Amino acid sequence: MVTWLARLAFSATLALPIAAMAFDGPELYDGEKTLYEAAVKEGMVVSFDTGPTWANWKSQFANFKKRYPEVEIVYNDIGSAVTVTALEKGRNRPQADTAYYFAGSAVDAMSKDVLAPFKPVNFDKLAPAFRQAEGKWFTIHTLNVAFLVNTKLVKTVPQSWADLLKPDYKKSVVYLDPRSTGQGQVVVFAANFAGGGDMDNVAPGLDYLGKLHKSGNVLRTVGTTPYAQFLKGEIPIWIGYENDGLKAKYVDGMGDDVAVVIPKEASAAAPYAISLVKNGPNPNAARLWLNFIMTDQGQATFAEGFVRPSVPGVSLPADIAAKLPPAPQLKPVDVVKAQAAKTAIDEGWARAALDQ
Amino acid sequence: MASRRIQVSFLLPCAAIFLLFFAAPLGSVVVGALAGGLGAFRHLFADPLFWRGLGGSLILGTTAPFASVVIGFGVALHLSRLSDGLRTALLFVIALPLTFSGLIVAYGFILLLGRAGFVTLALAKLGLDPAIVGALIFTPAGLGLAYSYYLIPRVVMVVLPVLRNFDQSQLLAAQSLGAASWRVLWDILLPQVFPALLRAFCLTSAVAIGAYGTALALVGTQLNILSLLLYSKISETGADFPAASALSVVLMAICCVIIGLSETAEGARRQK
Repeated sequence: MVTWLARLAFSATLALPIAAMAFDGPELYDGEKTLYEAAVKEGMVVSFDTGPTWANWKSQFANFKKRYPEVEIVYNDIGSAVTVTALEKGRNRPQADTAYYFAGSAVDAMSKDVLAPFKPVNFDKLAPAFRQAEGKWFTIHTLNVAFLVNTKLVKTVPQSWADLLKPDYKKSVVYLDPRSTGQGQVVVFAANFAGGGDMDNVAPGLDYLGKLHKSGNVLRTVGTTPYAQFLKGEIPIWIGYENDGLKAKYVDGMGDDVAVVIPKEASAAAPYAISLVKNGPNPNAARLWLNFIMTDQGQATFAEGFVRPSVPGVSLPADIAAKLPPAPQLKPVDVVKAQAAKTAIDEGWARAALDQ
Repeated sequence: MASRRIQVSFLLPCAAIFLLFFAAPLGSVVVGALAGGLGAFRHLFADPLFWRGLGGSLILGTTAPFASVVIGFGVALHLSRLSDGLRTALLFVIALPLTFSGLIVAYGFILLLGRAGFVTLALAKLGLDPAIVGALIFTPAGLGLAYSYYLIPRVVMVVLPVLRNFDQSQLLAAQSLGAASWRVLWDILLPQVFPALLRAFCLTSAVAIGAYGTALALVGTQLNILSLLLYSKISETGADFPAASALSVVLMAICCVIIGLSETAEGARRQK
């Protein structure tokens, strides 16, 4: 009862109007103070699908609150596809100010006309495939295809796609089904880039995966993330995302039992994007939030969660930089073309991998 | 007249739930499947993966239920001969697997029999290669084992009441006339409980063919069965709803036929 009363009193003080107190020190970008003052009047920002355990959003929230104490941040964790549906259903009275998703879903959302254009700081530095020309979506970080190798189960760590075909890796490789998962699609593109394919020609990638299945090295393909199974030691080699491997290594206690290798020939960088929602309730607070995660500080915060920043040339603390060594062989996935290639990949993959 | 009105009003909530949560979704699936005429079905039947999936589903839908019926019959036979208190206690334990979701069952089996599983590591101490032992649970046979885990309780539930009502004096009579115990089982007991066994088989077969959670978590998506093929049509990167609906209708039809078979057999027996 007492704690309940205390909480009530506490939230009452929070609700009292206080004169906007600007942050100390210099602006992160021109006009930051003015934007903050406008955002304080709105008081909050609703950020869809930024789950706190994913891509270090938890730290982003904390840093944002520290810099802008008078703007509350509200978030949910509903998944990319559901986010698009929620925006579409709520188009007359949007609840969301910003929406975060795999960039493929951003293309979907754009076709439903629920996004507003906004070019945040550092927008011009992004690679062309990583932004929509008007700023209806832009990439804030990438997830990158890597070999996650359990060194307890695998003697020699494979360094390249060619290595994976060797007989040493009989019944060792696990990856996600491209038909039902976004990660699986990106894996096809990674293999495709390595085999000399590009966004318009996915045949080399499908050929490679067909060969991999024929070699008997594929243990299984799965429909949901096998992260827990990987941690348990069920999976020798997982063609997955780099950040999962680094999380297993540094956060979830696998340590030296896991090696994270971005394959030598080439690999794929999957863009994760964010958008300003059309007619959202708190447009200034939304802009403040979007700018914040695109500043060098916001981008470095993503790197601390083991996902690579989308803005090139952001300076990272030495210990983080060591965990994310430069990988020039990473090539961006163009989500607009990826969407167009989906049917070809689904059918081609089923033929190459299952129909043997 | 009033009592009739009361009767109807008691029926209403049930009917509403039935319409809202069964008939409506079912109808929308059928409509979705027929949205493009018969095109979705034609496309489905032209896909070689569909026929392999059908084969896989039928194999899984006969072997796992058959094994479950054999084991479940033994368990039920034993239970029917126990005292009431003990039987209730054991039934409670046996029914427990029914409350677990398929995903949990799959992870349980992985923790036990997977590559880093308890049993696998114990067997490794005896010199068995964990790479081979740990792989078994991820094969179709392993999937059958996991299915049996929650099919056997269903068999017990269906068969036990029949065994309990069975007149034991028939068995005693046969024995006193000098029949061997397997003979008693084969000639006296089995023919009389066969309809219940058939019903248990059909029920578990329909469950096994329709289930996908355990398969998804355990063997992964490269196993060719219809429920996983259906799952592959619904994707986070864009779903093929006509194909998924058509496949749902086919799956439902198969399960209906199986359940129908058991009901027809039952009806035929009653008419005799």
